[in-house]
Amino acid sequence: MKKRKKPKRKVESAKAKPKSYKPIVRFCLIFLGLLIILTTTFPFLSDKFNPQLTWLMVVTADVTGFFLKLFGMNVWGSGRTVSMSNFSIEVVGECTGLYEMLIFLAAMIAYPASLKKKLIGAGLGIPFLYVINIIRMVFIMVMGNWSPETFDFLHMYFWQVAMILIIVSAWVLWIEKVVYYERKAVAVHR
Amino acid sequence: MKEKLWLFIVKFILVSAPLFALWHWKGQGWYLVFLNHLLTLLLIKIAGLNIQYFPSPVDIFNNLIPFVSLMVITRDIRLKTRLSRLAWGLLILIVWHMILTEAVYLLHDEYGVPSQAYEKLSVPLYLLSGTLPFILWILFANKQVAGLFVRRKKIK
Repeated sequence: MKKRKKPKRKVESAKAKPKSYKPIVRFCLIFLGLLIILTTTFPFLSDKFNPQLTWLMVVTADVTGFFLKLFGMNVWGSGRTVSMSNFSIEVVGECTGLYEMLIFLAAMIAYPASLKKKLIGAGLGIPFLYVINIIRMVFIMVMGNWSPETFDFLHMYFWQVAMILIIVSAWVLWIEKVVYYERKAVAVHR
Repeated sequence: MKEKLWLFIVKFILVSAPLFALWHWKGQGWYLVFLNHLLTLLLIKIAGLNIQYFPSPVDIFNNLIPFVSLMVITRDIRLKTRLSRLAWGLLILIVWHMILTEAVYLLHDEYGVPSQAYEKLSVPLYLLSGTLPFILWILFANKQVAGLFVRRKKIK
């Protein structure tokens, strides 16, 4: 008599080898490779495109100042500097959200999808990340002005992780809403 | 993803916020002491290198928190598997921190790289530090994120 096999547990065990492992490893390797290439070449490219980068920093400072004024705050500044009564910042390359955009682009390029969908993702994701970055800047300015001691915590800890979480969320949303959107529609139509 | 994105984000915030507060309050101080002991043991006592002190780029060590939070909130992983993957991930991150500390020491203190060049070299390292916990999470919780990668085959 043949022994009946015990039903396998649905919960993941340490020994079980997932079938979906290969595309994930492939994604991680491509993503890491792209990230290394993009982030190492970016600082050198930023020298070449210094006027454009400076323009972006000034725009970021202006937009941050504009929203702070919109909320009734007393703000002033010139060029890359934004100042409030107790607090002042100078917008640098990292404050423009460019690095976050590079991480997002690297994650999107590494994911297996058509060029059209990647372009849609870039078109939606980059402005989205810029808006989030402006919210971050406004938030940091308000909190820094209210309590300068909290600036380090917000700048170095909270927002660094929050931005990465936002990038991951934007990437997941892109996969769910853009990459799978047509396929779902086709499946329902059939 | 096996659960809704917004729910996952809420869980992440709920778990990571107190962990961050703890880290900021006491954790980073303790971790620096631990890392200094480890580096002293490995590089000075065992490898015999002539290093006077270790720099502490503490702001990049906080990537331990998102990794722990992500591994804690991810559903459907058995406790034993979860703990072992958490331990492996933390080990990888600690090794990464040791490499970073050594890199900062060599670039900044030993070779005295000018600040502009130092900034150029350190930015990629900082960015990798930020993304590393998420890459580790994708690898360790591969079954939970598999839906993002294999669904297209099923629909075909």
